[in-house]
Amino acid sequence: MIPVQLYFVVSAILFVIGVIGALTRRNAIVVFMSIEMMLNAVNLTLIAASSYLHSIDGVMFVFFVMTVAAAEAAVGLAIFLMMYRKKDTIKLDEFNLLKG
Amino acid sequence: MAVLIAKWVVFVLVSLLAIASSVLMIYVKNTLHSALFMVMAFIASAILYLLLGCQFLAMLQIIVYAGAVMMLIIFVIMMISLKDEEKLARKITKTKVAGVVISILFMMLFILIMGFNSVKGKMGALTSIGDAKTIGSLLFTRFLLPFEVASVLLLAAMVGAVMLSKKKSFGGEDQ
Repeated sequence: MIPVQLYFVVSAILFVIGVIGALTRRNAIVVFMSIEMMLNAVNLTLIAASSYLHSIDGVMFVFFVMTVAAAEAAVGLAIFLMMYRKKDTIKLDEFNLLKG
Repeated sequence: MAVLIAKWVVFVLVSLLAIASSVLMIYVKNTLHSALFMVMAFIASAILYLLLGCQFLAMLQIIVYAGAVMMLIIFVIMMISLKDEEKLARKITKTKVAGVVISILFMMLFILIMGFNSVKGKMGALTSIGDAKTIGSLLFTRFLLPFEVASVLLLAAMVGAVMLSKKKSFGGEDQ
């Protein structure tokens, strides 16, 4: 039996890699993919806990998280396309309209 | 015994694959390559779901991420010229260093809390919880309302994506 803690450790590492990617890269698509990676790490935690506690709730939660992630991907990528049309780049440093 | 050893081997290999490909995803300069590394990491985590006995979500992970989301990302990468981004030098600024250090501290905290505490409850791998039949029957009984809300959310996302990526934005006439 693989202990559940190992799954938690793996998903912690994946989550932190996602955080580092979102903080350090300036390419909007890579930042978006890092966010997807964080969602994926959380899904892994939920499934591991659900599996080891013999409860279906975590699995259902993961199902809905995946739905939201797919919706977010569709809208987010459309927004990137619009950003590119406006400024001819998707470098995140260029988008500082709210900075004041 | 042999099954257990095989499970351990698969677990270790697949975890290392997931971690390595996600590190490469945030490291490589070419956006298309990092998208492909993302697919590899997602397929590796689908195998981890299978190890945990969750067949349905593993298939869903491959279909949704490696199929649908991946296609979208690759289409967008091909529609956008990313020459500037790829030329961008890797500057190491104080903000980035602070972000990385804080993230690693957070990871250590998480590992200390989750990795060394025992999980209370009935232990043991699940046998038939993760299959499509159980999930399907639950979706139409206990989780009916969230299921319907999710379908409305997907419709809204579809309409939103179409609206956003039209040639002329809101109020303008169609071309």
